[in-house]
Amino acid sequence: MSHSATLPDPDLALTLSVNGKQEEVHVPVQATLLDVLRERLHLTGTKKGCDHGQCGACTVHVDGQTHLSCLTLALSCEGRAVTTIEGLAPEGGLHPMQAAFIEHDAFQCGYCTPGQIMSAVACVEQAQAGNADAIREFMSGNLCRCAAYPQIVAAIQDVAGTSGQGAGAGQ
Amino acid sequence: MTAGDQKKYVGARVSRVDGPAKVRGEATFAAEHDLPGVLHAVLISAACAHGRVSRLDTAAARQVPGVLDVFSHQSDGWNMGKVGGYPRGPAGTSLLPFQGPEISYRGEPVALVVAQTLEAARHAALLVEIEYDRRPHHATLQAALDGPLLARKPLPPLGHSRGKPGRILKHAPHVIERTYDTPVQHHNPMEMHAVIADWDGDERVTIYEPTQWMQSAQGTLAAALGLEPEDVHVVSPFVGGGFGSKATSWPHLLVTALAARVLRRPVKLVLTRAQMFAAVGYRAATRSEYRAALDGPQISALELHAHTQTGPADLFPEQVGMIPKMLYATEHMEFKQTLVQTHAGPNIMMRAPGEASGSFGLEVLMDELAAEAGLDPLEFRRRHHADTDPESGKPFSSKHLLECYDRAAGAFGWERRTPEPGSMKDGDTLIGWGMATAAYPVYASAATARARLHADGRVDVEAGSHDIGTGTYSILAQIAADALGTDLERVTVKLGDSRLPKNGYSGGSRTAGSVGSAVLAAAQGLRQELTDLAVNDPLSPLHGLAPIDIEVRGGALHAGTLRDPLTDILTRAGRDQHETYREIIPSGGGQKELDALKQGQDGMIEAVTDTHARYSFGAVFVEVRVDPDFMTPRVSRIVGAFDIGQVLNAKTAESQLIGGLIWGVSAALHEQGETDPATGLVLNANLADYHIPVNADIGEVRAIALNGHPDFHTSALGARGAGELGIVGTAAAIANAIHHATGKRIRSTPITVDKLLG
Ligand code: FES
Ligand code: FES
Repeated sequence: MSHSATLPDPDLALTLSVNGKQEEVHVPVQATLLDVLRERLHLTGTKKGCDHGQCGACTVHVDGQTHLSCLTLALSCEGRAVTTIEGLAPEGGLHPMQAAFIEHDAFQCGYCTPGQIMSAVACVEQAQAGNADAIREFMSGNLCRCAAYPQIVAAIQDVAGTSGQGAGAGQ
Repeated sequence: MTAGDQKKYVGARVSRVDGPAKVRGEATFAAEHDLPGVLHAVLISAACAHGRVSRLDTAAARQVPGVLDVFSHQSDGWNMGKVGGYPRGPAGTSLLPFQGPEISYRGEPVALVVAQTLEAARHAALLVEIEYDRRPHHATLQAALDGPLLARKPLPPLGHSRGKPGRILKHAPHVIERTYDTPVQHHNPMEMHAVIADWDGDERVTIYEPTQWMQSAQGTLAAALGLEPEDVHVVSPFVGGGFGSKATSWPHLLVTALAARVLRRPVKLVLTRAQMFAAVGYRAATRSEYRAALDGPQISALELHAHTQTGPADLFPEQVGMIPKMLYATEHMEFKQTLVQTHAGPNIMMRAPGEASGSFGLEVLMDELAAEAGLDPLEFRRRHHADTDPESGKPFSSKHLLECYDRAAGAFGWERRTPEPGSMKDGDTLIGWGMATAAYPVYASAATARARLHADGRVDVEAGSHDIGTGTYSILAQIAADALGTDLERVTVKLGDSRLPKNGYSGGSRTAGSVGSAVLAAAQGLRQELTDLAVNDPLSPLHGLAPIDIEVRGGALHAGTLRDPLTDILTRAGRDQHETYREIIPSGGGQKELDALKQGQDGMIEAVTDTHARYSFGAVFVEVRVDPDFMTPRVSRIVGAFDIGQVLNAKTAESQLIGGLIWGVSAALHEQGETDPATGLVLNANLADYHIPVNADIGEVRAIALNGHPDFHTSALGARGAGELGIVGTAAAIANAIHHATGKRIRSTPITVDKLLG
């Protein structure tokens, strides 16, 4: 494997819309959305769990759709609306999914949690939360090593109003 | 404490007090501390299990714009002092990085690139050219058992013998011999290990790292770099999971700290997920060879000879004998363990180290013996219930295992089980029901804490301990709120700073009992001192009363209809705050443990004391469903009941137990580090190939925490830990259920389809 020692111009100017705010950044072309959020905009609610699209910790919404920000070039987000966990609820408030995660103890260490919540919100919005099995399937891109999976399902069912549907069928 | 004191929070289902910060993404994990001018480091790990670096060329890497330096064994001034590896010292390993070209284990750090930006550092790291002279390696337990290269060390202190097992086994007509294997597992907390090192001159440094034991970084940096431990300030308010890998510091801490000192700028390093499979420890592979003599329905003698893997140094033992030695009433027993050294790197504790791996063999063996004896597996275990500790002969501090069996079996519906393998079906799907016993030692630590009341009614609780997802913030707030009769919202808990009152490492499920008891002592001390102020103050409605008649609740002291708010007591005394500091030594410990704690050592108090054997217990029942054509197993239902003493927070305790049970599913069906026989490197060092359960892998999981059995022999709170117990026995219960479903007895984990089809 040989790698070129020449880097592209590191000063690529980019305007990102993050949580409704216009952010000017100067980043190398290969910068990921995740690293730009965390290292340059100090929006550290979005987590890095693998940097390889394998864990879901970095899940954000781009134009309302879930994206793995570690696999998304920052460059590709120009002109699109990025929403992170910090932008889910108005300052000081809680989105119903955030409140349900607290109520059902759907996390322990909390590191996977922002990604879980961004996926969980999409799960309900995309009408995939009709029963426990559908939720389990939808949420299987978000790993939780603390293994709060049953509580995550309960929190989503609570918000979706589908508690009791397919919980415990186990299939 | 008096009868009318507030008892609102301890034991209740309280939502985590750090919940809002975590769900909003506001909890600050190590790599997220915002330090002006921070530089970014990328670590390069050895792509070699044993050998030496023959060429290391950094010229191209240094050409990348923004790169400040590339450090390695070629760098000047990087000699370090000796550091002890756990359990003999504070570091994860005594093998220090960058001290020479030798490579003694896979993934050993070989170079560190530091740049202005993460992107530049990452790019430059790809340009560092490294060649190795490879030497023969033994990177797995099997390879090391087969080959003569590295040493094997018997561990006499871990051995145990009682009665005459040898003689009985020799003459017994019915001896069952079985071997059970468990693989290497990697902790993989979702937050990767990270360090930010920020120096103030050359002698004082602040370290931001996720840790279960702040004194590890202090002790390691002090020994390696010749600093005073107190000049190493460790900050770790949130830890994104640890499971043992963050109990000790690892070599990447040292190279990051040194790079920051040389460059005179803060330096941040976040390991890659692949590096989480290298130099941050792992659970060692184990082999348990059993011989058991059956006399009718009773085990008359039991022998366990175990081989467990370890690294090239340090010799941390995966203690597979812990549970087999004490769990069942077997008068005649022998246990021997041999450590087998490999080039897989330093191993370390991982959630129930030894108890989880060791219980797999024991609890599958019990299932096999029950079948030989023609008994239901639960009945067979009941018949071997130990009323006193078979290992030490001492009484148990508090044991309610039979109640765990009853509660879990009842909730599961065990009485509907039909014994024949393959006899329970749902359509074509094979159903299997299995069970196992769980036990975990109750460790403790000397502990210290401070409680402070402000004139506006706010309470601070300070303890240099950790919340690794275990709920420490919450339980300490609950304990202080009740002890001071105030609202939970008024209490702020401060953890994760080495300048706070010292505490031991958060492992071995001992933080709740030990640190919780120190917080209880500090808060009660505060309440007592305020009571003294009140009864001695002529202006207090409580003046002249006996403290014993005074209760605390609703933010005030009460005696009958008389009431004196705590804040009024402070105000009248002309103070804007009042604080108390307390040190506690749990029973079984002494001044020695407290002194060790204050010197930054671990000072753990063992489970068996002069008077009692202290263990938590549990029973796990599992249903699996197996596709008859593809033999894919799925755990559809788990019910566990656990005897953990006083439950401090029903919500977080259940979550910990459920987490442990799911770790059991992971061990049974998913997890295994795979080693490339040619290179000795980990083949599946990523989260797609190293399998852990996803949401769809998990069915219904129910954890019942028994209540009403506080164990005051273990802590003033009567609480025992809940973090590790849930995993113990669970993998075996699943293996037993799979046998019940399919008739296939699999004696190694993970139980994958190839084994079931074979
Ligand atoms: S960090 Fe993006 S999927 Fe893991
Ligand atoms: S809460 Fe710790 S990884 Fe999910």
